[in-house]
Amino acid sequence: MEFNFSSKPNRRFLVRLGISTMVLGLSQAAAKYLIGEELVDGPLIWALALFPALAMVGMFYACGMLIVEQKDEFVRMLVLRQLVIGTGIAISFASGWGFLEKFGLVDHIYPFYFVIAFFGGFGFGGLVNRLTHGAWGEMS
Amino acid sequence: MKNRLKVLRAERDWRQQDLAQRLEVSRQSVNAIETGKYDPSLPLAFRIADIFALPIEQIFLRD
Repeated sequence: MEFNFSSKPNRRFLVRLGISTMVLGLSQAAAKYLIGEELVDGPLIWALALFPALAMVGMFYACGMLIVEQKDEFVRMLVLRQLVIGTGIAISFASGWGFLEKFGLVDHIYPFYFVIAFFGGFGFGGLVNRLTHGAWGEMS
Repeated sequence: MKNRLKVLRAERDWRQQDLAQRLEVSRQSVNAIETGKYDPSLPLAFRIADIFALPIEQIFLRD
């Protein structure tokens, strides 16, 4: 499996995902420190707490634009399949965990962990594409 | 849907990459169409027909 750097949509996807991931890490660290040390108060706490979520929205934006900008219809179909598989896995995980948590069988987890499940499913979708269609999708 | 893409490409001594460049798609797309794993859209099927200078029905065949 290798990333096709000659494809402009793929390159843009990688850049957008990289920036979003970097902003996610930095904003989360900043919020943890500033809110944890009680260095901010008022509406700024809300803005700081929401900033990592905006970075995650940036990741979804990167996925959306990968579809919009993709000129190759076959690769676009593969990426869409990956997104469907990723979404299916994430909501299945959320449903399962939700009921296990409701009946006290597992600890509470923050819902943003389902985003990790989504991206895990997105990657798994690439493997499914490779097996069924002979190409990975966004990595082809 | 069956197609004669591989035969037509071989007749012209084109690699999959050559045809992909002419169609402005990835090599994987050409491979997927040739192996019947993906049926192209009508606009792409017309582009293929134009490149081979053949009617669509002489390239793509009913199962």
